Amino acid sequence: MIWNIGYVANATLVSVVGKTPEDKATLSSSRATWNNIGGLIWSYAGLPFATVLGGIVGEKNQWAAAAFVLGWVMVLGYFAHFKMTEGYEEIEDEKHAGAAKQNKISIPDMFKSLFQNPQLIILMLADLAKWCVKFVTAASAIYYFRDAAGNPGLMVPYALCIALAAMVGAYIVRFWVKAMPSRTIAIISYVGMAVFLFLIYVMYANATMVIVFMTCAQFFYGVATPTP
Amino acid sequence: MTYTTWKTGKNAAGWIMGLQNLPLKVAVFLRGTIVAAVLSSVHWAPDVTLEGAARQGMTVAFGLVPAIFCAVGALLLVFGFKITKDVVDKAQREIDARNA
Repeated sequence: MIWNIGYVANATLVSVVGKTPEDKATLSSSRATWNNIGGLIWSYAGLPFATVLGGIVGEKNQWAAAAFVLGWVMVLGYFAHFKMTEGYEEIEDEKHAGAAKQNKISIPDMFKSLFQNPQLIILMLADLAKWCVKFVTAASAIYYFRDAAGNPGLMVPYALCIALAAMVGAYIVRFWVKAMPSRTIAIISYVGMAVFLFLIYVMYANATMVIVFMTCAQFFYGVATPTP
Repeated sequence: MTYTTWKTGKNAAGWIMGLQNLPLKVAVFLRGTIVAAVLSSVHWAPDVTLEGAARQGMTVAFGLVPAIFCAVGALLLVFGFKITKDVVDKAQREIDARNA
């Protein structure tokens, strides 16, 4: 729960620093790209890193130690963001206290803005679809390669291909937003994901093609992450 | 976020960013439910390679269900999400004027 407070506050900096929709899209694209790079590094270095720490604190505590060390890396990174973004946000001093209080959203306002704003609900439902692609495919991949394709070794190239594709997708979206509205980009990315994921269902017998299709789907997932 | 800030007249950035975490958490919950349901439907057992229809059944979770989610998401965005770039630009101009 505490982790989420810091995470959301840090993510909110995008809207504080970005002054135009294009700025915000570029910053979100950068955030999503590094998110995917982090995922890729973790998939290869996570276990060796925890094992090294296990040598110091014991195998039983190795994952807790990894979380502790990376938690501090997160603190340092967020502190760097805090220093880098100093001056972007209005300081709530005595002079501006009235305006700041008036500008603050109350809890009833929050729920009013949610239920009186169908656009927001639609965006959340679309977001749910996007996250389902990430989590459901990640959880079921090993079952497909091991139990359906009979080749669990394919998980290694698969993991690399999808991570790189998501990273590239998240990176190039900053250029796409200059050429077309982010709503259009989001629709294209959702259609792209739907098409390639459906092709996986159809071509399930060919594991190589499944990897190719999932790589394409994850490219569009990367594009969808920072939009609309 | 810009649209909500404009519509409510209040700074909604934190609230919207927090709200964006909700679908992520729901998806984490759905992950377990969908994968468990598919494994059960194909009579999955440890160390047994699936054959025939069960092989394609395994790609229901891997491909078909996420594809359906994305298709629904695309339809929602096409027919339900009407905030265009012009609307956002107009809202941003009015917010800037309000804060000036």
